[in-house]
Amino acid sequence: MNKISILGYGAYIPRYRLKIDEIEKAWSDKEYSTRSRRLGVEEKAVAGFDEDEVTMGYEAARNAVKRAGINAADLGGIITGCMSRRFRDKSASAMIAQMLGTSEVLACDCVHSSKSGSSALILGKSMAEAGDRSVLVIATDNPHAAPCDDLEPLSGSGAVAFVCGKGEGVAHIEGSYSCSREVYDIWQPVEVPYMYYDMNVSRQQFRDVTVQATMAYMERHGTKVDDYSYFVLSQQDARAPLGVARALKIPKEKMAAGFLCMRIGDLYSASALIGLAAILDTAKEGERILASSYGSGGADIIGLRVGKGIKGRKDACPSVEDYLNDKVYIDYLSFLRYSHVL
Amino acid sequence: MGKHVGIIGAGVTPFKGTWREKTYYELAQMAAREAIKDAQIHINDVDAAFYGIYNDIFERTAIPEHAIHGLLGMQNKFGIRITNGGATGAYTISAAHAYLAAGRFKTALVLGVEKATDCFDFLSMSATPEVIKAIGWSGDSFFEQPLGWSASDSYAEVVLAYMDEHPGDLKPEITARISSQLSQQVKGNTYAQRQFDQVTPEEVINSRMVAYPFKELEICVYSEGAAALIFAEEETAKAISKNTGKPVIWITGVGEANEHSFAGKNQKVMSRIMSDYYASHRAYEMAGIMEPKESIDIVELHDAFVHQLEISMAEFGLVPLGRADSLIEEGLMTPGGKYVVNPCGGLIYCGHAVGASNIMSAWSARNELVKRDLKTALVHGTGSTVAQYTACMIFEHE
Amino acid sequence: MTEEFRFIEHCAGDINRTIPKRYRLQGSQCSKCGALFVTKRLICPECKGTDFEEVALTGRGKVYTYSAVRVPLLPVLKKGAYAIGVIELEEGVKAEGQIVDIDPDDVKVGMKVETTIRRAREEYPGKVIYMYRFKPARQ
Repeated sequence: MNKISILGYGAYIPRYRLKIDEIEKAWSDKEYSTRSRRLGVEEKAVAGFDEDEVTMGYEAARNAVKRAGINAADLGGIITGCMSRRFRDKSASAMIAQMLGTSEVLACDCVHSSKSGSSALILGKSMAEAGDRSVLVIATDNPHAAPCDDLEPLSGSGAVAFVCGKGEGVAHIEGSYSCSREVYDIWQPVEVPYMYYDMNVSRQQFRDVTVQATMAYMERHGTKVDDYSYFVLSQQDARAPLGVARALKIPKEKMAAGFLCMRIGDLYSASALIGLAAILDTAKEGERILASSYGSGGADIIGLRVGKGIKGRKDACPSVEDYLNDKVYIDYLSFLRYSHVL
Repeated sequence: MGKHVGIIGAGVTPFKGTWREKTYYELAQMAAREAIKDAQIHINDVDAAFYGIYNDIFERTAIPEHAIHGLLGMQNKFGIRITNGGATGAYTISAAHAYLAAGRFKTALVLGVEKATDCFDFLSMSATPEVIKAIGWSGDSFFEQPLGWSASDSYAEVVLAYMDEHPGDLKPEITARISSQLSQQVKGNTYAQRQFDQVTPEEVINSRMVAYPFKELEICVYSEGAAALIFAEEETAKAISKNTGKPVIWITGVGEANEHSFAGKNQKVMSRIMSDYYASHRAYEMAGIMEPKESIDIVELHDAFVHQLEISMAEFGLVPLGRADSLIEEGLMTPGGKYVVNPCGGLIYCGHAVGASNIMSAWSARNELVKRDLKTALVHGTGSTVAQYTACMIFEHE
Repeated sequence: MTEEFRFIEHCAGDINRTIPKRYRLQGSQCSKCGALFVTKRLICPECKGTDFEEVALTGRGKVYTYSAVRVPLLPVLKKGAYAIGVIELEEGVKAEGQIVDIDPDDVKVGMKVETTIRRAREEYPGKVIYMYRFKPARQ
């Protein structure tokens, strides 16, 4: 049997941070401010004026390829998962392939859901299994919520990338489970500039489907919560994942390593996976990780076991913590400028 | 008169409707590379560079030659840009000749480059209207631009005035036959944009009317490409010629004239292209040509329009004014005739890469003089509104 | 997109044609004498060579000189200032580029930098032009 592992991973978080206080100051008369504070997000990562989902995805991809110790030309596929893609017709994966300097590669995008990143990872794993070349999977998002919108304090920017391939790598992908349902929780018709959402439906569905899918995965693989050292979930805010953890009886400390929402916000398709990258930065050989990603009413669950390859790969490129610590605080007006609202 | 100046190397890039994969700077280097390879010299042996560049809007950059200079390896040497409407290439040759004749330099690179389709009209998803608009900026801003001035109608005014003065000349069947003949001549030019675009006189007559009296197949096509020449003064030229085994083509006469751009008394004579008359006759005088009809073998003429080609031939004194149709009717330019006119296919078939066109014509004239072992060629460039600018050169095979 | 970014509206094949250069800092190397250039060259000023190979440059190097632009054409960074510098690459050749992810006042000559890719401008209609930038090297 061909073991598919994550051979390398890399993250990228833009250096600009907007404190939620700044948004509250700007919209001081808005009732939502207390609520957003209760949601636990303190600051969010903001892409610079000259950054977008493609440049961030490229940075993460370059880190992942570097950490995997391969050449971009060795890649057989590039799959980019991105929910907030500004282009309806223009392949981000093909652009990133060009930026990395390779063209003999299958490049396709996985879009339209906040779980497109994890779906891309599952597809990339299968593709690596079927073929003989490694596959680069990127999850990147640069979501823009409308000013004064309830999502504005939550939506952050960042990217993460994984190289999936055969052999002993950073972490072996033990298995995956997906469940897809339909629900109107976050949706965006093509003719409107910002997403519509129903926060109540979204949180309820997130909780229900994540609990159900996680239990289904563990049942199929004959594992239980105690077998895993780390759990990482989609983080729409800093409260909802903790509710799921309580329902699944996951101890809080197993959530901590991948819980970045309060420091960078919700990265949508990269939300759970950047947490996974942060876990890999600290995990030791033999430890098991369960990652779950929620989007469009459905969930993807991916189980991993940290491999021998983790040693010596950690310092190949900046860690998630390095990116988290390199930050510059901006004010609300700068945020609007960087987001091209002004 | 100054020193003798000769052509010792020449090269062109293929002329194409669009060079999608090449940058402006790359085209410039391609032509220069061909020319220095032809002359078998090193770029370090070239003392000065003369750049013929028509229009900044085409190249999407102002002073486009500043980057080319270093990319060619011409740093720390003389470099100058010449911009003179459609006659840019011819004027660039004239300028380089003057500097060398004056003894300022021993060798010079004459380089014309054009990249027209980088200006792009997103409404029509085509480069053509945007190219025409960019050319439209050359009309004067008060009288011409607001009228919807274009290059075609400004030349049409001159041609129509000539036709009023000389009824019975420039007959549609004759202009069609000239265009058809040029399309046959282009077959031998492997660098031409329309090398395999042969047309019959009937096809020309039936082609779409663009601006009366010009039909689509009687108008030059805009093109992208570059052309380069290496000039040298007498002694250097002879030494290089000895090395390459290729004869020097001497530039024995140069003449220029720019007319008034408005019609009127002592101003533009609408029925004539006086700039062609003055420029050619000044070149003849400098070259010591008394009887152009007897001396000129090859004419590499800037044929923006077939009708203008006929009038220009008359202004050169090669056919009588009012009897330009004798070019065909008396077999003067038909194969085996007295003159070889535009053996490269001219700008109508080889392509009009504005800054490079006349330099391409010079490249062709030089090749044809050697190949056909003929003595004298006339190279011509025209441009600006109402055929206002002209520069002419006489090339002589030693 | 803000108005200022549309300062050049007319473009065509040009932006596709320059992708290797804009994304990967593609240079060229003389096949005969090995002279290396940041730009695309066809005539070697060192030898008589006229054949070149395209090579991707590492993009790593150090700041050779720079200037902070305070009255900018591009309103890209806070305070409207950005740094443009000449970078001496590991290969020994120099390339010009914007230095990002750093306050222009903090840029130092000799500082180690590496390339990244950023949005340079947006051209009508909706074409985003990406280009290499230099940022402080992390390791």
